[in-house]
This record gives sequence, C-alpha cells and structure tokens, in this order.
Amino acid sequence: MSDHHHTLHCEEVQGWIWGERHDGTTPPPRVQDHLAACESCGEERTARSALSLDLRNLRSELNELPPRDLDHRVLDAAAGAVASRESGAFEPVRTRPAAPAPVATPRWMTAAAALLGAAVLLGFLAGRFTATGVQGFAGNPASAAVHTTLATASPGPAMDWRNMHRPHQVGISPDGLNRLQDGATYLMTGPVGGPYQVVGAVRFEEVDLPAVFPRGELSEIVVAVGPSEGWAPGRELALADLSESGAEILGRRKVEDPPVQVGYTAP
Amino acid sequence: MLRRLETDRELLDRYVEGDEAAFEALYKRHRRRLWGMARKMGRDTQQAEDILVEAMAAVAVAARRGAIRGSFVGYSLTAIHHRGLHVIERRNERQAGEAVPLAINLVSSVPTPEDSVLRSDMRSEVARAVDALPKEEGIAVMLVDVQGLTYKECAAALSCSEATVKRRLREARRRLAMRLRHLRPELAPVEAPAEG
Repeated sequence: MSDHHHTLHCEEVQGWIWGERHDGTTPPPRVQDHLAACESCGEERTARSALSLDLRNLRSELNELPPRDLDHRVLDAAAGAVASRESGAFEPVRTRPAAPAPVATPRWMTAAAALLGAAVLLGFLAGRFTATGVQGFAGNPASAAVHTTLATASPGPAMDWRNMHRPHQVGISPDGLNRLQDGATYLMTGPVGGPYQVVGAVRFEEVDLPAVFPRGELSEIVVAVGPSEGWAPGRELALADLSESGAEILGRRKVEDPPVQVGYTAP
Repeated sequence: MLRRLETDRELLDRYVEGDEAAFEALYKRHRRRLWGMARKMGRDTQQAEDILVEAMAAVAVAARRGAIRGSFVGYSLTAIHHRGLHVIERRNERQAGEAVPLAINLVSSVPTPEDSVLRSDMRSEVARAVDALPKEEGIAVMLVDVQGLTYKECAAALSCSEATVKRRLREARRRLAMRLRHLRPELAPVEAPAEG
C-alpha cells in the first residue's frame, strides 16, 4: 500500500484517522511523520476532514432555539410525568397543550440547606476573589451577579509565583444566564477591546474544571453566545465582528494581572 | 452579590431533592441541542415537538429517580434519539400496511424541481447517510460528530465503554465517507469497513 519504513504502519495511522476527533488537534508526532510520507494515508485524512466538515455543517443546521411555547409544553409534560409517577397513578404523557400539571413544592429543609451552602460558598469565593486580585470590569454588563470559572492560566517560568493555575471568573447577569447555551456559548481571550481568539465552546458538565486554557494574550476574557454556524477554536474576532455575526456578549472580564502569553491545551 | 453557576450534576442533585426549577435550568441550558436532535428525528416540526416533549418527560422521571448517573445532555439526546426511532418504526409499520396507488408511485419516480433541489442539498444527503447507518453507529455519530459530545459522555449515555464508542465511530465514519464520496469526487476512494 505504501512504504513501510515509517515507525507506524498504515493500518495504525488509519485507525487514528477514523477513530479520533478531528477538531483542530494536532496529530501525535509519529502520525504526523507518517502522514507526511504516505500519500495513501494523507488522502484518507483529507477524506476524513471533509466528512468532519459535513457533519459539523449538519450540526449548525440543527443549532436553533426551539419555539418559545414548546419550552412550556416540555416543562409541563415533565412535571406532569413526575407527579403521576410519584402519586402512583399512570398517565400517558400529553404531547399537546393541556391544563397545567401540578408542581411539587420544594421542601423547606432543602431550601435552608441550599441557603447555608450558598453562604459558605460565598465566604470561600469572596476570599478567593480578593486573593487572586481579579477585579470587576467596568464594561461588564453583568455586575458579577453570577460567575463561573471558565479559564485557568498556567503561564510563566518555573518557580514564578504566577506559574500556578488561577481561576478567572466572568460575571454574567441573570438574564444572560437564561441565554447561556451549552455548545453554543464560547470563551474568548485577547487584549482589552480585542481582537479576541476563540478558545472553545463552554461545557457546563465541567464548568468548574480547568477545562480550557486561554489562547494568546490574556488581558480580557469574553463570554458570548455564537452564531448558529459556530466558531472554530483559534478564530480571531474583533468586537465589530461579534456584533455583525449576530453573537451576543454575555460577559467580559478584564484581567488586572500583567498580560501573559500562555499555551493552548485542547479541552 | 456573587452567585456560583451550578454544574449539570449539581442541578440534577437538586432536582432529585424536589427542586423543579433545577430541571427547567437544565432544559434551558441544553435546549438548542435537544431541539436539534428532535428536529433531526422528526418528519416535520409537529412530530419533532412531540418527540421532544415525550422524551423529556421520560428524562424528567429518570432524573427525579436519580437514574441519570452520567451526562444529562448525553442521556437526554439518547432518549430523544430512541423516541424518534420508535416513532419512525411505528410510521413505517403503518405505511407498510397501506396500499399505495400505482399512479402515485409513477409520479413520485419522476424527479420534481423540488426533488432536484433536495438532492443537490449536501446537508440532506449527509443526514440521509447518517440515517442509513446501523442503529448503534448512527446514534454514536449523532452524539459525537454532530452534537459534539465527548467519547466519555457518549459512552455514559449509551452504557458502553469508550473503546466501543470509538470502534463504532471508526466504522461509521468509513461507511459515511464511502457513501458520500460522490459529493466530493476529487477525493480518493475510502475502503469500506467489514460488515457485521
């Protein structure tokens, strides 16, 4: 099929080509070496990249918000199904609009526990916020009503005090919180005022984990809901590009510490 | 005042304890993807809406019982996919029992301008090719390559190992590349995976 003077065989490389995600990640060096030398595997990789693109296009076509009244139907049906199950009665799920289903009242103890937990957490976060020296950004429309850790920087030489993972939190208004969309909400970093580089889509499953690392300069962090076709990691966007593409900025955070260059690790 | 954004897992835990608002937050957070999967499975908007409503009711019951141990979005997308397959199977059974007039067959065999437009639409071709995959491979492609789940999330949603997900995807992608090759004639042919 091809020359076999490479460390890897074609079969192994083709296993990588069709088995791995193709989301901008660089192939391992041995795979890269093989691809550079083997025409057959290079062609398979081109075919795989084309397929990735076709499937991503399919995703953008399906990336729309549902009709507003459908939200009510989904939530009513869910509450109705749970209430029926808990009362022991069997009732088929209504798929068309129906009378509002009974809604269970949260127990007071749950609420009290949640309040206590929130107070403890608030105390912890207040201390952390001061310690990291991160301050609110004047342009942030959110007034830091809700925050989350979206990026962790690990820059600088060894033994430098900065060479540790530090959370950077971006304030998002309660209204913005309702507009957050998993898979369509993007984190960007760059110099203050842009242009920004897209780090990647925010995953709520891992919202508190250091899942992504900023690209390029880290002077400002921006969180925005992207257009339906989405943005690829590394894409550079000015503020004007954001408004023209129909994106919506949910939060911005100026990082007060000296700007640092950091590497990028795929989430 | 600062408030922390909750993870899906924390919202699920709150829902198990009876907080209805937690399920609403989860649904709203992921509704774009959930609706996308329902639209993919439904024949029209109305059917897609019914699939979403019925599937999410089942998801809510499972969530309240604490039965969702992996990813909420993975579980929900899988539920919508299964519900959609059920609807498609029911529709096919109904149609199989109906006598189809010959005239309609003849008319439908001639491509209309609308048909030509549809055929030229690459996305429709891709969607049809995904539909034609074996069931287990099709759901893996929808969850990972179309909806963007990680292998780990997909494995949790399908109750199988990551290695199984990877194997199914590898075979499905080869099949898709082969079936869609006519869309990109400049590309080299892809070897089909072994059937089975």
